[in-house]
Amino acid sequence: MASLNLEDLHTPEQYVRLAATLESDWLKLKHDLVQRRKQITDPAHLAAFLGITVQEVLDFEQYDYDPTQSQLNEYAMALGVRIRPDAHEFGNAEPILFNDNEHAADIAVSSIDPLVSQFNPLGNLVQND
Amino acid sequence: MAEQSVCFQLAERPRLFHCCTSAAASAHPNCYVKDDLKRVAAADFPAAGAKYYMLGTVLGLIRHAERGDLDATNPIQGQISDPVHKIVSQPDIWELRWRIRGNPYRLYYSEDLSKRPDFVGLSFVRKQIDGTPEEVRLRQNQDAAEAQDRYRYAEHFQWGHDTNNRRCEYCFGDSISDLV
Repeated sequence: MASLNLEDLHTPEQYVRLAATLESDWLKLKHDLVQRRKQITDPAHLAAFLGITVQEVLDFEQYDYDPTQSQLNEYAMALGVRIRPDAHEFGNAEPILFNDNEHAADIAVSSIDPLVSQFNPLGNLVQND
Repeated sequence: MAEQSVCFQLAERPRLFHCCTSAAASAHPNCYVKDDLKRVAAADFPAAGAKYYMLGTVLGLIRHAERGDLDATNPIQGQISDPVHKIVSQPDIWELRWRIRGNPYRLYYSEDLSKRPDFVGLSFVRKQIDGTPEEVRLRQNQDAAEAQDRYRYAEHFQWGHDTNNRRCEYCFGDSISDLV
């Protein structure tokens, strides 16, 4: 089986920008979840519904908290929303952080390689029908 | 109620997060924060991909701090929580937090919307959590004191920020190639 040299897939700067964008995607998803919680219920009610402590809810809602997948899904389920991942390969037309800064080095995104399977950041937050 | 950082207050326009330098921008100074980031990345993330991820994670969160949409739910009365991270005063030093691969990292910075730049990053460290709570607190105070020293030292040359309204080469997210 062929194996890509990942160092050649993107430049270091492009990898950093992609990582920054992934972090931003996560923070936006988290922010959307927290905003929805604030619109519909209080931490104590959510904690009681899930059988966890209020402190655990508050911890989850801090920007620097790194939840497990099950914590994330429990929180989303309780709020009646679905997190819809949309994994696809990062490409030239992709909006990405820090790509337009005045002094930033010009980055040539590597051409699409058929060996690269489709993965991309967390996708949309949608309310269940 | 504790004072809340503007990182948690939505901005009409993204604010500016600059990194403190050792001299005026015209003197081609060292950048304290970028030097700290490079040092921490080299020590804790020797694999190339891990380093890129760590640096990007730092920059991604900074962008949201500039927008003021970081989440910090205020504690309910009687509950213990610490969503606001002001460390020391005069000059006020705040912290932003990351947890990467299980380890805590901190950016010490100042914020003042009446000045330009709005935010000044002063130092980036891996928080040392070994030892007693008193020892941990002592090391944090030392880190904050160093940040205060840098703030006072660089204040007269505007912390190396040579423009009033736009990003300079020492602002976060600029010159990423200097970090990798």
